[in-house]
Amino acid sequence: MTPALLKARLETLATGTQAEVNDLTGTGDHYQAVVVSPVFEGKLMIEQHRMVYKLVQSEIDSNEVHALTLKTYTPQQFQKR
Amino acid sequence: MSNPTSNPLVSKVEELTKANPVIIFMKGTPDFPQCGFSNRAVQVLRAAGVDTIKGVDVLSDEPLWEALEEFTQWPTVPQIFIKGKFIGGSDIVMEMYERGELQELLNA
Repeated sequence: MTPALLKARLETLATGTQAEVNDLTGTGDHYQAVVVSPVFEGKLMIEQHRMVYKLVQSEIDSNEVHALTLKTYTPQQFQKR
Repeated sequence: MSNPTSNPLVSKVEELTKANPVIIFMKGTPDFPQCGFSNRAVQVLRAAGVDTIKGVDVLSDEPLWEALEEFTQWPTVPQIFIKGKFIGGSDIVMEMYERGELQELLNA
């Protein structure tokens, strides 16, 4: 999965979602992503991560994406960071 | 979170999470962790001021380990529960600690 494709996929989460992805190994299968979305408001971090993982579940299951390390923020949290 | 299941051990997992304010399912024990991620999670909980950590060693109870994963639908250990709620694994507790969210949850 290319970085551009992954970024686009993650941003389908909800309106106003922004994602930045980093291909850790240059092989398109070990990624780090920062996802900022208003839908994270009021949710536990684990719930935020589950919402994101769900978007790439089939690629994770098929091992096309072997690892995805996440950081999730609400827009407000991201600004204060 | 939990699907209807016939595995009685899933209820046991749930009971454990309800009976212990802070519980970690891990490899090894809080005093003798047998995996770097489990160790890190225990250290983070201690740093956040948790005095009593209930540890469950999944290496010594394979059926319970399977029931845990069935209960949370989360594929890796360690798994940490606070006040009966599944919080996540070592990355998440670390990140929550750095943001002060872990402390908030513990003190709420």
